[in-house]
Amino acid sequence: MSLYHEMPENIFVTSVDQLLGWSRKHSLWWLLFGLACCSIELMHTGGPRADIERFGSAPRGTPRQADLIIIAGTLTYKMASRLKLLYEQMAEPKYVISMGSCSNCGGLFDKAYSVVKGVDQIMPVDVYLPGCPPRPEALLEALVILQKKIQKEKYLRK
Amino acid sequence: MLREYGAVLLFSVLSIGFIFVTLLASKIIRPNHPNPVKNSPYECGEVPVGNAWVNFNIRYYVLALIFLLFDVEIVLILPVAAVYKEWLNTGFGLLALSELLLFIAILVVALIYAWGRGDLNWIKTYERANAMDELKNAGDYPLEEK
Amino acid sequence: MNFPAAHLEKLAKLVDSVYNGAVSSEIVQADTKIPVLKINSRDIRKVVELVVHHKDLGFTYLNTISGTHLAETREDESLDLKGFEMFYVFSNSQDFSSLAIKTTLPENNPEIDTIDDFSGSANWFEREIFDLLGVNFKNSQDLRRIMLPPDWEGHPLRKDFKEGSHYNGIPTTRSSELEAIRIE
Repeated sequence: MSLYHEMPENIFVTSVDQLLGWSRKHSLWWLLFGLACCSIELMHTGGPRADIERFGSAPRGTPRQADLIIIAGTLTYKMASRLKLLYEQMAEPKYVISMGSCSNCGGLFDKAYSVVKGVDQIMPVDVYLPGCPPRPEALLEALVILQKKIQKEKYLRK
Repeated sequence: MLREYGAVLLFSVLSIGFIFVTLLASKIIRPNHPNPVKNSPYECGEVPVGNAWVNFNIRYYVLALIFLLFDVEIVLILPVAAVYKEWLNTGFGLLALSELLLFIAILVVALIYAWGRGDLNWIKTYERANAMDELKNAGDYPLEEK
Repeated sequence: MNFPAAHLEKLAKLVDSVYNGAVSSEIVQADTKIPVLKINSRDIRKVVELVVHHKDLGFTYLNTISGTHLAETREDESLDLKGFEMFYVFSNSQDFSSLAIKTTLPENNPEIDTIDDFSGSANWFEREIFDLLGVNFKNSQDLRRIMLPPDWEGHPLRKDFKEGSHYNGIPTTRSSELEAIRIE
């Protein structure tokens, strides 16, 4: 009974899509997933000075209630299976921000034996955010870029 | 007076309708792709081991029983206070108060009994368990088979 | 606090006298903060027992067990593997002095006795060395990998370790570079 990706393109559906995009982009609830030093900057982004909640993004502790996962930190092979399971347990539509060099491409630990060389070898990434660690304002810009992407996304249209 | 009932009816129709409309709109719009991995219980990313259903603690039964008794007591006190308020004017107010206090006193005796038995503690104390053991060893415990 | 050179010579003589010359030891660095005593790897349990339990010494605290793989690069870029070297560092909790015991192990099939029963923390140090270097600790209570996942193959801190191409389906090299795109 779901109309997700089912409707044709016409003026009415496009307007409804824009309305849905507007409402979805302003309430992206993110899953707390801090692995290493970037998670400190993630905590600062949740703090009062660079407040992520004014964009409507509340932090959630469980993937069932989240639709954005911000992967902050170095991913190791041991942790990779857990991250994959967490990503699978999130409900669609879900988005991924890869925060910091380590989750973009392995970063500083590119030559190490135990580090996954970039999180996009496990899951599709929407926004790559460079930095080591990126400042909270940079993470907010990544969120704004993701919001622009969601606004243009075809939700009801095929 | 029928007007007030009409207002209540409208209110209930609107509130129930609101819930139905929003849930229906969500159902129409959202994607639905269940798969076994997505439906597995959440255990912080680890593969879950064992059953998610655990046994209920039996102490909840005793707690619920005691709560029920005193809740019924409250439910019975409140109408008495509301209905017999008029007795204050006729001078029998003290009689009503003393009857109410007698009712409460009977139930306070029950409370003291439950309290003394240790039923208000979540864990029955170890002293009581040891007392039982001592009785058993001394041969005074009546139900033990010799 | 310095462990004076005289004490170290006394220690060497004590080792000699207690074991009647069966245990040979050699003083490597006498005038540093942590003097080093070099012994043969099969005498490790005897020397540790002496160091921990003797009333004059009393080095009851095991600071760390650390190991390394010795190798040199020849002129044609190949590796000349020379075996493993292990340090056991003990400390005295009364006067805060430290002592290190050094042993070398052969390149093929490195094995050494465990000192699990002398110190409670030795198990994790030995597990770490087993995990990363592949040294087998005989008669250990519990020898399994501690840091790497249990299905990992190989011992990474050896100088001749080469990674496989995939681990559980995840590639170990990155083929594509990330390029910057402008988002409007």
